Amino acid sequence: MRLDFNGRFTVNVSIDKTFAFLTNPESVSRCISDLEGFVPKDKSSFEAKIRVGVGPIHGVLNTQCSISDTRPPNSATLTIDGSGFGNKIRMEIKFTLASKSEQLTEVTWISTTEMKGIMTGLGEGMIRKLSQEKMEEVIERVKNGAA
Amino acid sequence: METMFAQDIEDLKNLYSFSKEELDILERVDKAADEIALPEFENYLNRKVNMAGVQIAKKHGILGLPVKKEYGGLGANALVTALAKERLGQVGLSFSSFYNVHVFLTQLALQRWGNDYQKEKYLKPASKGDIIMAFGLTEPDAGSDPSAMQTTYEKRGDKFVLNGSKYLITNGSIANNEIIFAKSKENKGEISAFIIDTKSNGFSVSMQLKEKIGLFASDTSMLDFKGLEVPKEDVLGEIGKGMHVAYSSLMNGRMGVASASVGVIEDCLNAVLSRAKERVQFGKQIGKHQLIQKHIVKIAQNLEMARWPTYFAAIRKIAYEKDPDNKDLEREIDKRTALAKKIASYSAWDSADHAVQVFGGFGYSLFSPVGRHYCDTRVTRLYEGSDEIMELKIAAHLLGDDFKAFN
Repeated sequence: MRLDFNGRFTVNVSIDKTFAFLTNPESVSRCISDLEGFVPKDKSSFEAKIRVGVGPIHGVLNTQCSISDTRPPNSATLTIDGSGFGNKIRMEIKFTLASKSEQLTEVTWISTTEMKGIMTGLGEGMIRKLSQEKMEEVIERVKNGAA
Repeated sequence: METMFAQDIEDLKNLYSFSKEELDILERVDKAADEIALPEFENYLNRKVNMAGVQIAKKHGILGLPVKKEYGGLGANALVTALAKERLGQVGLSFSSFYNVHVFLTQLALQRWGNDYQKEKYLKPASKGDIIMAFGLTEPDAGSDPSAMQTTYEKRGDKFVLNGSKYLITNGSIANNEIIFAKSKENKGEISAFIIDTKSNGFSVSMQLKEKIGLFASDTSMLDFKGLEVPKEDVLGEIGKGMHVAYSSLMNGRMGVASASVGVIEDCLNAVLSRAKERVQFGKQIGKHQLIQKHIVKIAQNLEMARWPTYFAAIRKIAYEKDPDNKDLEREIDKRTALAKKIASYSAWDSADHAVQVFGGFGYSLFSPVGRHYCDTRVTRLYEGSDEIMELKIAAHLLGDDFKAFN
């Protein structure tokens, strides 16, 4: 199952600070909702345990997260690759930054998620809605964190 | 808007011109359905009534959809209402059953048969979702033949006193008010309809049926009445003419079941299309296996067979709603709703079976939408008139009144 979302927001911070936030594993990990474990690996990657689920179907995904395709200060891609309790998930969020003024940055994001396993059997409608809610939560955290 | 639902509206634009207000209503229902899906799923697995769904529907203002605006509803006609019910059917038949009873069976009965006092006291709050309604016709020994009911009423002063039981009553234990049918103790054969208050002395819920084979997020109860007093103001319709109320309500209910069944078929089709593209077996997507394609085509066939008679019945019902005393139209709607209900409910059940087959083992689980539809659709061939009652009704319409199997 493939899920695509995108959006745009602005933060009252310079483009350099926004870029620094989005490429720092520690700050990015704080934007992941239901994070149960965080182990930094190097300057651009980390391991994370993420609790996911709906209703009685829930469990923990063991994920490898990396920040790649960095083009300071204009773009970076966060990749979350994980598996757990019969599911495989790969998510990519590409952030593109544009400076609107010294203290105003516009962030455009495009996410692509590929899912396989038990969760997909719940039905695309429900998974899409849940994923969208989660993604909005993550973006809200990015927005608040970067600011 | 959900893709298949949007496609249905587009298809129907060839037959019907939707106003902006009607399209807005459908948009609103679509949003509500999206929100109801998750609590429906969670409550289903926990076997709890989806009360969160009721609150969401209330928030979106869709609990009085076909009720006239003067009584707090949205004034949607039969076609818009059918489409709305179809969208709710996609989410699951538990919430849809609640909705069918709260809106189609009871509010439309209050609107048609209620007096000004009853419309003010019951219809307005029901259409806003401030009270929940139920409909009590079935009894342990009176299912397809409601005239065999044992619940009685007798007049005492300016009140009526009810004694008896009702069985398999959707919303029975969660409703504030219920339309209950009873037989006169003095005049055997005379049946009347009463609006009862579930807080009254003499009303009790004797059983909540948890051992159903589906509809796990819907309330199904057995009710007891022991000396339950009903003020004379709460007789619905004329005394002794209760079966007129019952039959017109059931006709509305059948439209609801048919529409929800169309929604189920769409959800099954949607689910199998995704599954067929994602699931890989023997090195290729299962959708590339021709035997899987056969199941998908069968569901698509079912959808076409079910939705058009349902939409056409709804379109014809618009004319009937404008002229409710027209007996010819009433007969036509009786036949068309019976046909739509018979075709759509059977098609939904068959579609769920094919969808489970496409899903394989995962389909044989309440986690999967098709597994839930498989459990739920069986009852659509029973409630609001069984397959057999629909067949007898359709046959009598075709052959003539002399061939009626029952009166």
